[in-house]
Amino acid sequence: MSASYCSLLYLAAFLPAVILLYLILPQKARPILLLAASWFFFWSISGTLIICLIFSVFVIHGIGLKLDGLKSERDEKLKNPGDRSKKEIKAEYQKYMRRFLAIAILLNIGLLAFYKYMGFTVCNINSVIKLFGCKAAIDIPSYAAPIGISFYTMQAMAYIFDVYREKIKADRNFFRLALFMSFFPQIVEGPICRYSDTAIALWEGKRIRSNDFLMGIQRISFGVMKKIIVADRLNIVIGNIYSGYKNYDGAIVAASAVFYALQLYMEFSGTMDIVIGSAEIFGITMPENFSQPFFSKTISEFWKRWHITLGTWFRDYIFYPAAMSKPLKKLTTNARKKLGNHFGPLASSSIALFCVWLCNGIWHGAGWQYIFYGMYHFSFILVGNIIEPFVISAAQKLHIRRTCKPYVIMQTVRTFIIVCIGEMFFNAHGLRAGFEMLGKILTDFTPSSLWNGTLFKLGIDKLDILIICVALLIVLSVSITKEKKISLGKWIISRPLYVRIPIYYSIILFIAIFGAYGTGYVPVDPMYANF
Amino acid sequence: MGVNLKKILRRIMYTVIFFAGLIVILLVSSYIFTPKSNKGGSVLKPSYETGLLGENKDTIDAVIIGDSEAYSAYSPMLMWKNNGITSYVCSTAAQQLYWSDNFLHEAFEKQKPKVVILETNAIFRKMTYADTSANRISNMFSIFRYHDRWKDMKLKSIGRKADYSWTDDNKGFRCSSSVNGVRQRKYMKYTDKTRPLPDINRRYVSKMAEYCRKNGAELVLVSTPSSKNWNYQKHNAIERLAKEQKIKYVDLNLISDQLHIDWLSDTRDRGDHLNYTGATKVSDFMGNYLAENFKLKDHRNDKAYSKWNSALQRYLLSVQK
Repeated sequence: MSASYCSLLYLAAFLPAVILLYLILPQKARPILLLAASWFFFWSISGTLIICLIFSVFVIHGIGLKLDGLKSERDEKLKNPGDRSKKEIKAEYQKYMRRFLAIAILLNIGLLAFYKYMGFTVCNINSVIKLFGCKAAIDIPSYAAPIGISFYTMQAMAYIFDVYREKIKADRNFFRLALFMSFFPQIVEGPICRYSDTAIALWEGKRIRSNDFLMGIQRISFGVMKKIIVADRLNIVIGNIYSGYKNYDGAIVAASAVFYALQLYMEFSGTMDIVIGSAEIFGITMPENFSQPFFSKTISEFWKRWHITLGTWFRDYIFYPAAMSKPLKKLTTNARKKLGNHFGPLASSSIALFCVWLCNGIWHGAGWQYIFYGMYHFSFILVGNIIEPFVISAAQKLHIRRTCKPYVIMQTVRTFIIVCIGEMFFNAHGLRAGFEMLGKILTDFTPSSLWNGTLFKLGIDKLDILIICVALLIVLSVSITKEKKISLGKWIISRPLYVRIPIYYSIILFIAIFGAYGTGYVPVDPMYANF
Repeated sequence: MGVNLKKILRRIMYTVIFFAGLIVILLVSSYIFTPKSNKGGSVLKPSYETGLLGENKDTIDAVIIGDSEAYSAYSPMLMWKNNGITSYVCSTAAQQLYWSDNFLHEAFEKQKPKVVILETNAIFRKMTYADTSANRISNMFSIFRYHDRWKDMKLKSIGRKADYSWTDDNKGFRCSSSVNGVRQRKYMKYTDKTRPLPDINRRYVSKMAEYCRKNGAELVLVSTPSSKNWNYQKHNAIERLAKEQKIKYVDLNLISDQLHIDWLSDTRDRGDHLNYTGATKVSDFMGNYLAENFKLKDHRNDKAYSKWNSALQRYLLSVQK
């Protein structure tokens, strides 16, 4: 099976087959069906590497139970402390629990590092060896990684951290935990779910309700539209410009940067629509991964709206533990005395933020451009935090209302430009290529190439641009209604059949006619599947 | 219980009505989007291979199907000139076997060819069950194949009657006079090894052979000379397949010396495809092979085929340019 949720095999065969079987089977058998379907789905993409996924489930199941056992033991002892102090008992058990937590981290992150970062590490070791003038080099290993390893590893870690922190109780049911980890709609590209989000609901095997079914199908259709009409249509032109950027001027390169940002959003958020819609059919509410990111006024806000489940994961399991660690707390106290209430806490939170963005960059890929990408966003957030008081006072002095429309538009456009440049580095063929592309935009910008025909020789024509604009307008309208907390999906469902059915037919025809598929098109591969 | 059953039945009925309506809409839009002329000239319906639709009924003796190797190497007009055989090349770049199957069915709609040649390079092209399923859906609802015509469709063409009368003077052959030769070492080195052939591809060849048999034609597998694309492992795979399916197989790569193929002058892209001089040599051989082995009539003096003689004059003028 293809790793794409937008494939015919998934949408027209696999998903309908699972829905049909789910409808037929009794409630008790439904979770088993979902697990079997999920493992079949994983196996059809990654084959025997499914063993890695099952191993991860074994590790967190076993260690989760061990942590729970230790907690019960500790609580028993705390009830009858004897001659030992409660503090001593707590410290002793904390030590044991930390050991098991470390084993879980080592095994899960170790597997992720082995599959994702071995090549990159060996490559850098070879570069260092070369620096010392040695010719001997280590062979760069090359092997396929299990699909979605970055996503399910994050889920596994979130589960074990939450058990350790006593936010949830460890699950005794191995298969429930396995289904939470492997549920087929989320396994390739997320969203990164927490145990409390989906595990229990998945295991309930609730019957499919017609409203859930229709909402799910509507959401899937919206995702397919984003992917097939916009992301796939932009694929050839982006590939041509990124691989041959040296031959084009800065305006064309800038256009490709904007195209890529749009493609990434349309592909990833479109896939998320299909994923969340698929889960919705079975009555499962998955956490949202996007919340109109291009409406953001700052980079910090952008990351609260873009790939939300990744951001909250880093916030909960990297930022907070780092910021609340003893050395950083101490630093905050000292800095507050010397630098005041704004800059004092900022010093320690910036260190925690640095850790987050380093991890974020590395998570996205094994390459220096990804680390640069993380640092790029970190810099903007840091500068934003530092200059915030100055901007506020400057605005007051200049009598600028920061909530007025022109100011908000200026902020939104500025954030969009920063994001586009960041994504350009992200997609460039290496860090050097990214800088050369930026150089082209800054020094060789000829706007006329956007309309004198140069752009239209690169795999996109005027009508393609027109249909992309139409699709973007639709997405924009839906985004505005979402921003106003209005659900267009619910509105459609509440219409009478004679209104609803023509809407459904129109959506199907719109995708069938204007989709970029068939002869002359190359569909974009799932962009986040390899992260 | 009764209420529940009623509810379920009502839902099933709504679903059936919804899908019935959808099928009608897809059929109507398929009619609208299907090209009204076989002189397409676009990637959706390239004119070269669809020129076959404009040929007079039951006038074609042989149909040649395959990828770019086929349309670069076989010139039906040269076979007509030398042997009086009428043939047509229905090939497209990077043709998948399910496309070949489509062309085969299309060819038999109006013609009764006695021989169908399948160029073997396409047999190795990877395809998935999803690809073949998508192809089947596109065959049922051509909107999925021709959807991109929205870019050049005109309102007045929507209700127009289809006119598939255009014919191609080259009969599907794409002539290239450019020379980009290669100093060739022996590329057909004997080996026992066999290139694996996916099951789905095997099944398609078997299906096509069966279809030809049912329609009174014979499928022949032919490997066109290509020093870049062909080797002995592929030869072994096709030879085994041909034996299994009881299909004739001719590997021109094994007799490229006999054909006098000179890889310095007979290729347009360093051994990948043949150019016009290479195609002349292959077409001379193939004309004789078809005439001798399938007892195809010489139609050159048949008045019913006079259009082919006038097309030959135009063809010769165009290749001389």
